[in-house]
Amino acid sequence: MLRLPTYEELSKEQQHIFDLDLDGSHLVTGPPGSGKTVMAIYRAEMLHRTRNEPTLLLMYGRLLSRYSAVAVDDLRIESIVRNYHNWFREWFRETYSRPPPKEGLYGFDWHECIRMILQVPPPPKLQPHVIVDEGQDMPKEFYAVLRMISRTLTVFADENQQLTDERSTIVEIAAVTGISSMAHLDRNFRNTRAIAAVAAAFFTGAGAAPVELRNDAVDGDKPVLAADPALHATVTRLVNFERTNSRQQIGVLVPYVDQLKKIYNRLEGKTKSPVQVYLSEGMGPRHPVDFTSPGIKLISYKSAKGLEFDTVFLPELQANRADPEGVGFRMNMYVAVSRARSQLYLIYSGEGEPPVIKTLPLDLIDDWRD
Amino acid sequence: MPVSGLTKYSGDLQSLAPGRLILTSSGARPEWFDMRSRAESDTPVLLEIDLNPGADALDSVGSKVVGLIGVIPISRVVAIHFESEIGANEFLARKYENFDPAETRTSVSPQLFDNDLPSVDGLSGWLNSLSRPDRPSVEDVRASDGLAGALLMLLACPARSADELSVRAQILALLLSGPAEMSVDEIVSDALSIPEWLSDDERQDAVLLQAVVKTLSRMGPTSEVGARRVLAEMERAVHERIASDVIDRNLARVRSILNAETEIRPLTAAAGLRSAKALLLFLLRPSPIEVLSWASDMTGDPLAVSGASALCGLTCGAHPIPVTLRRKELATVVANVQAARLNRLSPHTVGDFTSGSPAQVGLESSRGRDGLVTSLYLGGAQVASVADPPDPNGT
Repeated sequence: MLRLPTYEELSKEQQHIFDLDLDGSHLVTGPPGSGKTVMAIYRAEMLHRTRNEPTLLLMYGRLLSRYSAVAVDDLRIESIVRNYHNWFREWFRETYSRPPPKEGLYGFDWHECIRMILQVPPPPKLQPHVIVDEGQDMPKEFYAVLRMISRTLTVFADENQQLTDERSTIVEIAAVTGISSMAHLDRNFRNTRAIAAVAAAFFTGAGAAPVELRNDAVDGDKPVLAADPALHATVTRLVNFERTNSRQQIGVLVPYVDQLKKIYNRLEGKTKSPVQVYLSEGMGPRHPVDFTSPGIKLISYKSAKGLEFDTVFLPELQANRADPEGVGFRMNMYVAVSRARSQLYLIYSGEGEPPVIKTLPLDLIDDWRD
Repeated sequence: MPVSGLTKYSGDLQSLAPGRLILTSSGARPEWFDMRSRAESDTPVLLEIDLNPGADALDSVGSKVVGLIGVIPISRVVAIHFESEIGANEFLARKYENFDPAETRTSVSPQLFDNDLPSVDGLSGWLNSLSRPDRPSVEDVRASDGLAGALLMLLACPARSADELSVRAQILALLLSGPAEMSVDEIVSDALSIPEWLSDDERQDAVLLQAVVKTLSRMGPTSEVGARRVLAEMERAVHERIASDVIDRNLARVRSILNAETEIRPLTAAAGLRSAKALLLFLLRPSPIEVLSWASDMTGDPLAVSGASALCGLTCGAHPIPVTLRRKELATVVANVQAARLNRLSPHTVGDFTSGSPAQVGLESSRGRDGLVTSLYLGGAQVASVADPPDPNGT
């Protein structure tokens, strides 16, 4: 559940972002866990509450949009959190009475879109306040549209986390939008020191370096390594935890989709809150994940990007087929481990110790194995 | 008020005279705001205070600027003055969980920021020459914040039974009347050690309670350290004092629940040491809003829930408690008590903010349509009430 911060919780650099002029446009950059999405939502809350004008918060991914939309509802503001792709399609249709020109199955023909928009410019400043999260994943042509229709535009981005080919660099975003006010978050606000230390142990040196913790980061309990005789024992552990900590958001992350189904079938009906599973496109029946409710969310490592949970379990480590020495394995573990705010459990089951355990920094972990 | 006792502080005039409050009778000069540490989004503000200080608390330069030693409760802030409309609007836009800008009157008063007052050089020299009081110290402020936190959380805890309210009234009265020279963990331990709160195994419960309160007073919020670490520290503190199978069994049960070896079961008043139950509930939900949710989730032992609430407040202090949990009239009583306690630690007098008499805790019962209604009051304001439904047999 997202709530407003206490005054003391905001570090000096976050306070600076929090205090950015509400009647201005800004470009805020920062790496994973630096609090960009949270700051974007706070800004939407402040704009809506004090300006009483529509505020639009645009995001890239569907799961992340739902995660943030819930946080926005929790703050009781009417700002619209939208997936940028859907919003643009609807806006174009409403403005030009036709769908936007497409390229391929899902993409937009931006060249043609811009040509049409310049030919018949939209009414200016119709959308007073626009905030963009994960801005690096949206094309620069999209920013040209936003510049035309908004009075203030604030973009939160990290060009080291670009997912797609339609990406924009920070320089391009600044050039197209004309934003000159730049701010940067460079501290990890998500993890406790103990969890951040374990995550950093998986960093390979490729891509953005793990960021330093905020100066007043909490220590927290050490992550736990446990060995269960079989999956059913791990499931019992999960059920006990969930029923005792029934108000927590608990992420159970696995590398493969078949593991999601296996664990879900064993958990179903045993927990206090229904277990929710997220399957990415093409992997099976999809149901929206409800982040308003506490309980277990079963998600793959890849789909968990950008999300965070009070507690994360990484079960069935022995079933991970990736090369423990490989870069791919380590980066996946880095992403998975860093989803946990305050508690982290690494678990394997069965006989013997799987090779992946040798990659764990055991001096940073509470080893609960006999 | 020692600024170093604050967990977050943006530099202002107070930083030039630690332990002093700088008051003027007519506003400020623009150049004074250049004496503070610069940040891009700084907005000059002036706090208007309703104050009647004691004579020996003042040092002054000229007739218009004084450096006060002592603590003033926030209830004495009458208004926040801004130099411009923009500054006021930007301030009002920023809401925090523990501070709502709309709660205090604001005013755009540019005339107050351009007054005939001592220059920066004169002011700076004078401020640096002022004596620095030893007390109240940083530790005094933090401890007092813990006591205020325990009070506020007890006041915020929903009521579940008349018996619990009656016990809570006794605990509140003891917390409010704790002598200034007694440490806060002693005050809290003594308040919760009344027989009505402890379990039947009073002696063991009291020993565990002392260890719990002492350990939590020393540590930050459990979210800073981790519930398992706190429990380990607790166990060490207990074993230094006593060897007790009863306490060990209770703490082992707490540990097995924290480790997810067993799930938590509904608590009952009869089973287990109350301080162990209160500790468990607090460690599982360490934040102020979360811990109060036990009132509806764990109805079998309301005293354990109110105990957990007090432990939460003691650990986190009053300052981070959300505004939604702080009713203004009750928070004012607590702030006044807190200021009076801190001022008694100082050799200087700065006035009495408790209107001459301590805040009174009272219990009242009345019979109505809903049955017997028991209400808890503090300083005339109702804290909580609970109705025991009428006997269906009509007796």
